[in-house]
Amino acid sequence: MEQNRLSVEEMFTRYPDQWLFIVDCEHDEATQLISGVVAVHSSSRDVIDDFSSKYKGGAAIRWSGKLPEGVGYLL
Amino acid sequence: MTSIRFNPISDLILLSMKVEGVDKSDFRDVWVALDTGASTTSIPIKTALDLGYDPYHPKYSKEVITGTTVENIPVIEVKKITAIGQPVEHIEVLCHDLPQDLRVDGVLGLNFIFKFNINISFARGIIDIEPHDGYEWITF
Repeated sequence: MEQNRLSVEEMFTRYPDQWLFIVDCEHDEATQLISGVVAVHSSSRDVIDDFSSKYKGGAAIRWSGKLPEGVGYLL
Repeated sequence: MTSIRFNPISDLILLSMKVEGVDKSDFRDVWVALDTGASTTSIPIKTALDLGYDPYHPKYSKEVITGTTVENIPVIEVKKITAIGQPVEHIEVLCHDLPQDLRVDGVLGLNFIFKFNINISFARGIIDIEPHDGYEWITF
């Protein structure tokens, strides 16, 4: 488990195109995630979900890559 | 009033949404799309479970018409959601898994948005949001 607090930009640079499970989160007044500690990183969302199911406390889940390109969205 | 920046040329307006758990010390901050075309905010089934809610015994199920299907989706009431700096307590959410390839966990829908005055400036790439005092609906 990573112990260093990183900004979101640093996390995304260090762990590109991965799912991140981030603990010890710091948010700004607009609820935007500023920094945290990457507890788990993986290209598999299942790994993140498994960790999340066992984790008690506050955490953020983020994809560090881009959204799929060349597709449209109708949610 | 709270303001946030967003990417005005992105295909989706993406926001952090903090969902509080049954235990107040638990939360998950998930990545959601601002969706004025969605009547109700949604979170993944897994997120609900991780936060101590039970989507398999929901408050009720709601028939939801999507772009392609009609589905019965469980509705639970979560203790609090906070997005764009604005908290809303005791709000109903759909427990629904979006396709994993989307990389987005849910939507921030109208049942959250309608509690606020919200201005989306695509020219500036800024969303301004503030609670309103009530409705000033005009009856025709």
